[in-house]
Amino acid sequence: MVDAVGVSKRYGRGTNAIEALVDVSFSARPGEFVVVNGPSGCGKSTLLMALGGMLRPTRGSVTVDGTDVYGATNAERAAFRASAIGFVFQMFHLVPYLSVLDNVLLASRGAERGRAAALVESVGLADRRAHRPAQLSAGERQRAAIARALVNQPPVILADEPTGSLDPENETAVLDLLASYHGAGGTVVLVTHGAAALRYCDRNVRIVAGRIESDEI
Amino acid sequence: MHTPRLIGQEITHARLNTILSALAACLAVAMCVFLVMTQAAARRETRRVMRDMGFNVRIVPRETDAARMYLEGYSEHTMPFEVVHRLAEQDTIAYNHLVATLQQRVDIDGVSAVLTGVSGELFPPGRKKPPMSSAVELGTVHVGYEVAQRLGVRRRDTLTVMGEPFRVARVTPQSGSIDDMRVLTSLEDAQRVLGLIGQVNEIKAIDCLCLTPDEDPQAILRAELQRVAPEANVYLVSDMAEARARQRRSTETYARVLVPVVLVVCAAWLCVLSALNVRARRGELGVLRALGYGSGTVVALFAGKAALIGLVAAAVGYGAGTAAALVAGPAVFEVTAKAVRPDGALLGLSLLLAPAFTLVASFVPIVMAASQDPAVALVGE
Ligand SMILES: Nc1ncnc2c1ncn2[C@@H]1O[C@H](COP(=O)(O)OP(=O)(O)O)[C@@H](O)[C@H]1O
Ligand SMILES: [Mg+2]
Repeated sequence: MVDAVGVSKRYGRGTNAIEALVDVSFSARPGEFVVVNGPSGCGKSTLLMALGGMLRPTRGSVTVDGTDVYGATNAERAAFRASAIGFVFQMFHLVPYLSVLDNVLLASRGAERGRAAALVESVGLADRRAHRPAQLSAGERQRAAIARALVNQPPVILADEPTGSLDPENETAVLDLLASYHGAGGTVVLVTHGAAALRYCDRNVRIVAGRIESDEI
Repeated sequence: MHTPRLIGQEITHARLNTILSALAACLAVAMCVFLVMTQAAARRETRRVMRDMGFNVRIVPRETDAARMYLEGYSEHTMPFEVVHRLAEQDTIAYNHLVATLQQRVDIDGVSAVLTGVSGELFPPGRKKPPMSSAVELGTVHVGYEVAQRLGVRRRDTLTVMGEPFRVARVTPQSGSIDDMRVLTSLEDAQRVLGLIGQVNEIKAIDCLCLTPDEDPQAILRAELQRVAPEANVYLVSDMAEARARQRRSTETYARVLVPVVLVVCAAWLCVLSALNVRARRGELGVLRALGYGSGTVVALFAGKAALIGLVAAAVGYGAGTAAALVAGPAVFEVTAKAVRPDGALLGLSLLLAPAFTLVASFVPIVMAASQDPAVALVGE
């Protein structure tokens, strides 16, 4: 259960202040696949980061599986991110100096190598596991990032335009990976511009200028 | 994954960046080591050169008529030798290298010479310095160049002075000054042949005041002497004293200004490099936090690299700075070339300070990055 209540986020101060989110309430039930879309700069990434314990809202609260994310200490919040959330970013954000397998292991906090290797194989990168991110194509990088997000078997995946830099073929591959995670009971909040994701989702939330404009099944 | 392994992986990956940062830190250490080593040599050099310029303080009996002293070259009056001991016992006195002399013009086989008895050197307590002028052995004389020429004496000859035979231990090389007309003996010998047992007519010294231009050194010395030895008066050979003070001041100013300037420039340099490194790795920083690493781990990751760079820089920079000082030092400091030596303490200091330096320089950008919301590095790209 992901639950954001009355979340506002202001960047900057004074005349330069930007209201990225204005009193947004958002929730996703366990096992739900929610697509969030909206024009560029409307606050989608801000919402996702606030949900994942990465960005403290100016006002409002976020609760994930009973954890008051911003009421917790820094250490508790870090532990929450490690165990409860899998992040996927548009720009992949793989650690450039680690191999694919090591990137996955980096997230796994000491979990068995075998599971990480199996995961790398399941995203189709078995023969790429020793490569550095710079040696991979964009689609391969994003699949590696998804393996990394899945390694701790988190209840929630937060994906921020994961297909934004990919060709249609890789877009499908990435959406299929998210769909299969969802099929196994995982909760997905997916920010995307593309229409392709709408086929997979249970709900479509549209944000405009920091406010939820529509929320459709 | 363990922090040391991550640090190692990052270093091998960002090889160029690491090498450049280490090089910067190396240069900082090398410059400091070079400066410290050559500074020590420069200070020794100055001290040596100043010493070679000779005595510049003349302490003579109070009743001495300055005009006559200048004309004759020495005071016609005498004072007890015990005054030297009194001066030497003062630990607050502002001069050093005390030597008592007894001078008088004498006639040796028709040649007019200045018989000069010199004592061994006396130092104020706790201020033992290498001797400046070698004392003359009892029963021997050092004969000045002109006197030796005129009398035709050589080393190991016997010279009779006022009826007493002396062995010529040395004929001093031509100096182009009154010294060529001297016959040097030990103070005791001079006192005996001149019939002035226990008496001296001048105490020579070197002032060790570190004077600023607005101070009057002669007044300071006079006040001091008045307290300790009221029967004496002091004259400062001022051009010599001034040159000495000027030289000392310039060396000290050079050291006092240059060392901090180099340190500040290097610190700023490292700060900039470290800030750039942290900036370039903001995405990585955000991702590590997204993966649930605490800000402590993130700080350790960056600080570990900074400390490692500092250690490497200390070792390599010490080697480079020492090598540079050993190569360039002797060329610059002719007199004290041998004084430029590798300094093990400096290595220890480098190994301690360089990592502290790189840590401090990188700490601010690291902590700033780690204390931000982790999303800031990831959103808005
Ligand atoms: N770190 C930041 N500082 C200032 N403004 C920001 C920052 N991050 C995002 N913004 C602004 O907040 C608004 C929402 O940004 P974002 O959530 O990234 O939008 P989206 O992901 O929907 O494109 C935008 O106007 C953006 O310029
Ligand atoms: Mg965005």
